[in-house]
Amino acid sequence: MKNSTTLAIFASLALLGSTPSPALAGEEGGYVYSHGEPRFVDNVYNFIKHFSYDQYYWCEDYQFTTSNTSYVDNMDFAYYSGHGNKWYMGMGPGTSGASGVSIGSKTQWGDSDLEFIVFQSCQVVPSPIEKSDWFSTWAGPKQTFQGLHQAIGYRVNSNSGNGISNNFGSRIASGQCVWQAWFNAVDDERYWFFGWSTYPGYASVVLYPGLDFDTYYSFGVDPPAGHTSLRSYYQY
Amino acid sequence: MKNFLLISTLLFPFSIASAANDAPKGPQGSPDITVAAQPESDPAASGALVSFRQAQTPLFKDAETISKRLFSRSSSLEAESEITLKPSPDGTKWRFLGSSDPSASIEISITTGDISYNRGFKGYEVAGETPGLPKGQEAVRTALRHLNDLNLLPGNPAEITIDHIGGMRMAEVSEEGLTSDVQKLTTVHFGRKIGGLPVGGPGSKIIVHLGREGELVGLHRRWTELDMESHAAKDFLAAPEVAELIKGKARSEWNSADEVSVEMPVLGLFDDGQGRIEPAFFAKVSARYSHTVDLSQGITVLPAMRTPKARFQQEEPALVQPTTPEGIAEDQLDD
Repeated sequence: MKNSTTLAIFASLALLGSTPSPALAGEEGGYVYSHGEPRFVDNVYNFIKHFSYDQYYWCEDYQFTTSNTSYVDNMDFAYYSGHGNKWYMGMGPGTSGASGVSIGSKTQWGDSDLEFIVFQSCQVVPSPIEKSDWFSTWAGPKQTFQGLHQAIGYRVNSNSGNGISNNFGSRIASGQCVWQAWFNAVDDERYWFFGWSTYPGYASVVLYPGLDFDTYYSFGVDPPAGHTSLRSYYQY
Repeated sequence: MKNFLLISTLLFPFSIASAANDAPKGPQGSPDITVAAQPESDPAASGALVSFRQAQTPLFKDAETISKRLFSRSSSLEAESEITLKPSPDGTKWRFLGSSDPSASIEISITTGDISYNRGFKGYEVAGETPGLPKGQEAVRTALRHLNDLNLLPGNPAEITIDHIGGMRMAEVSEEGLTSDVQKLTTVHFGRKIGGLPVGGPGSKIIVHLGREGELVGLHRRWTELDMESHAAKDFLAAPEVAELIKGKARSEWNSADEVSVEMPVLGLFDDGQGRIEPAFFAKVSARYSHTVDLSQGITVLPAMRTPKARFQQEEPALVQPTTPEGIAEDQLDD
């Protein structure tokens, strides 16, 4: 059975020292910037292919907002790829709705199911370097973290169409800690060239304090809705 | 034209058979593309009529030895564990995952010997700056000492460049609204130059993460020793050919943009991380969009060899295309 109750039970067992089988994993969804650059399709596919994924859709704004409980917040692990900006996801030129979604009061996730979301796109997870109020749209009574454990991505511009999503998916499927697996996958690709800004970009994550060591198969209890505490790790 | 199509096939991160190519394009159609100038140098002018391939295949016993050495010299919870490597499901890596700390891991490529090591983050999530973090040149010296002690320095130290010193920070806001922002790790990034040309791509680098009192917390070593192969000048693109080819590449890679500008391409070497290094042109790209974000920036890489053997397309094309959800209710379309 693939629902969050099952996952919560297995998460509890894991805390007692029993590791659940990957075969009893949760639900994964992939969301692709609609009919834009083909690498965004490749990025998402190369992550979800490591799982028996449940959703794999061209992006529409309602998947993240008004109907999120049927889409991203009906998943345990959501993976988005497309053009982004600070706290903002582009939906792509093929979308039938809004051209983008701003993180905040319209994206309340985790009150239904979602534990982890990855934004393989530019800038969606700003650090204190980009935004002194880096936490403001994520944490609070009507903000995004309503049970969500971790939101992962980049704090700056990023490059994709490389080995990151496959590497990351493989690491997650093997049971590595979630945000640490992302940082490792990004570092595996990293290079500098003539001092140009670093390829593929600097990774960042925001998470509920204490859930730093969540894996996809063994994670802590959902944080309370409306909390205002948040932690960020970011590369520079 | 034939060469262009071949290079496109190898380079561009897209699926030739992809349904996305038949999908509706953005409202703006094909972007306007400008290229600042042709490169100042090409392989013939620079004397770089060469490519490189990995000299040796790694041995399992070496992977096992280095894994044990890495964990045994750290304060990791796994330091006392039995470090047993297992193959990854796709058979490309040897792997270890910590049982006490699942953020502790090691992955070693079976084909190249690339190492991706993490001591585990337990103990570093606590409040406050990590004590005894080396910084600046002290961090470089500490990183080199670790590599030397582990026998992981490159065969030709003259190829090593110091590309960046950075790190990782942790910021926090409490329920009471108190904020903090402290350094947890220092990171030293070593790059590579061969014959004076800088090497880009996922290979030819060593990243060292340092922690408490200079402890080795993480290591990403993708560096192979090489055999050189010589080629004729006709095997390489000349500088005047590059602008048009890179324009086509940018058109494909940024196809939903309205405008794309490409800075002057620069000659370097591309390490594909899979045992091949070849000359390539690197260029910074800026793309402007009207339908979504204003500006997107990135790097594009064009192989300089007419028939490249290096794997410039790093990502496997998707075998399945996304779909549009069925049965969308009217209210779902409102926002």
